[in-house]
Amino acid sequence: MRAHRPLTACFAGEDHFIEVSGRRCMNPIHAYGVTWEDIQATWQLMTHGSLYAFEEEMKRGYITLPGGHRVGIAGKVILERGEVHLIRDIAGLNLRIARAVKGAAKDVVPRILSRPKHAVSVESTLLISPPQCGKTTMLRDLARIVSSGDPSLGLKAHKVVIIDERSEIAACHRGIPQHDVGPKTDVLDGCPKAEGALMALRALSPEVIVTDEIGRIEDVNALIEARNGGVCVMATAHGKDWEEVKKRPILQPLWESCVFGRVVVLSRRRGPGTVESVHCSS
Amino acid sequence: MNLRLIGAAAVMFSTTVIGFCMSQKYRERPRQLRDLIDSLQQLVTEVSFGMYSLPEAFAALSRRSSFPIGLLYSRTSALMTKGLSVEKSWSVAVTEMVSKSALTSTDAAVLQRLAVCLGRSDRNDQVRHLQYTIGRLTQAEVEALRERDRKAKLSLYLGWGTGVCTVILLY
Repeated sequence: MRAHRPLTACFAGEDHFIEVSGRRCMNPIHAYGVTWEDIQATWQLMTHGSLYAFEEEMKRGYITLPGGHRVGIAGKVILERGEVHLIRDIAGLNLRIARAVKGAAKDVVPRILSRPKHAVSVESTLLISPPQCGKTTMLRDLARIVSSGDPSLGLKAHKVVIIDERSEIAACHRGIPQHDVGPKTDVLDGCPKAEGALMALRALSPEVIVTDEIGRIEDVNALIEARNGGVCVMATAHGKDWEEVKKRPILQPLWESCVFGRVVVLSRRRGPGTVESVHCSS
Repeated sequence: MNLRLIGAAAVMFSTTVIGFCMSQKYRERPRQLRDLIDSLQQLVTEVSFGMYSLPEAFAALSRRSSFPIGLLYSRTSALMTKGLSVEKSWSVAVTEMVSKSALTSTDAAVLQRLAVCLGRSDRNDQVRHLQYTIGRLTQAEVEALRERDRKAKLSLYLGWGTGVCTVILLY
């Protein structure tokens, strides 16, 4: 939704405009023109008129709704001491509908087992892809399978901790995961990755730590710390392919410390979640 | 004679009830103001520590507060759930609650002032606005206690006395 512009929706990777009747069309002239009031009313409903409750999330440019749906915000960014303080005059909302796909990681699991013959555990795994290729969906399903165990693969149920900084993996509402993330999974909802990894190590005795989108040096250090603590780590990172991600300076310590045993590259060539390749990184 | 007696009894009853109601209003206002202040202090905790959204915080407060203060929160929460803005919901709920309470139009004005600020800023600013409202209501409570001490008994006696005087004059 963009104020004073046509209402747009993306279906299966293709952009369409939406008419007043709700039908899709390709011509923006026939589309419904979003008003400023539409944006304000939608924003009010999404936040329940309680901006303070989304204070920290807004600083990152988005909020997460119950169900794990992410709403990106466009507007006037106000800085305080060089950091984003708030976004006011909100004039654009980008809603991404989250959905869990059970079985999305089914084909990947046998390829990340540490000993496929007598599979006792999983390797630490990094999922790589550009945005909207199903990294989070696959990570969520990996967490579910690893937490439930898979007797057909000889995989026992593991104790999993999800550090869900943006509430997208488990989509917790009042602390209860809205998506199936497995019976032996604890969720640190809304917790920053760096702090969460250490908290989980100290307090929740995990066998596997799952987290989304590594991007800061603090996240990298926390994952190294967790790996050194004997815990298996599963995470995602933005990148087109393995070669490109290998060159990212901020991720170098991960390769040097051999944190990940497997790297899975995803694309949307045959739809979101297409597995392009699985690499042994160590 | 009987008719006169019945009339006198009716006059006495009416004036005494009026006096009692007036006295009750003076007695009730400080108690209701105290309930309101307590509930707003709880709202500060819900906002600053719990980070609950306003409908969630109001729903919790409506369960914890006694009548008529609970009504303020339950109505606001219900109206917000229907899609009304915080400002409109709070404003309507304040008017409804005050009409069913011993609170005055001055108390209502203090609460109405909060409507334009609720939910619109960060935590610190919300707490500031709530604390300011609590301060204004605490002043109103002190004044209400003074008024109760001066006028509660007076209204009761005035009601009863007016009845007696009217009956004497009628006889």
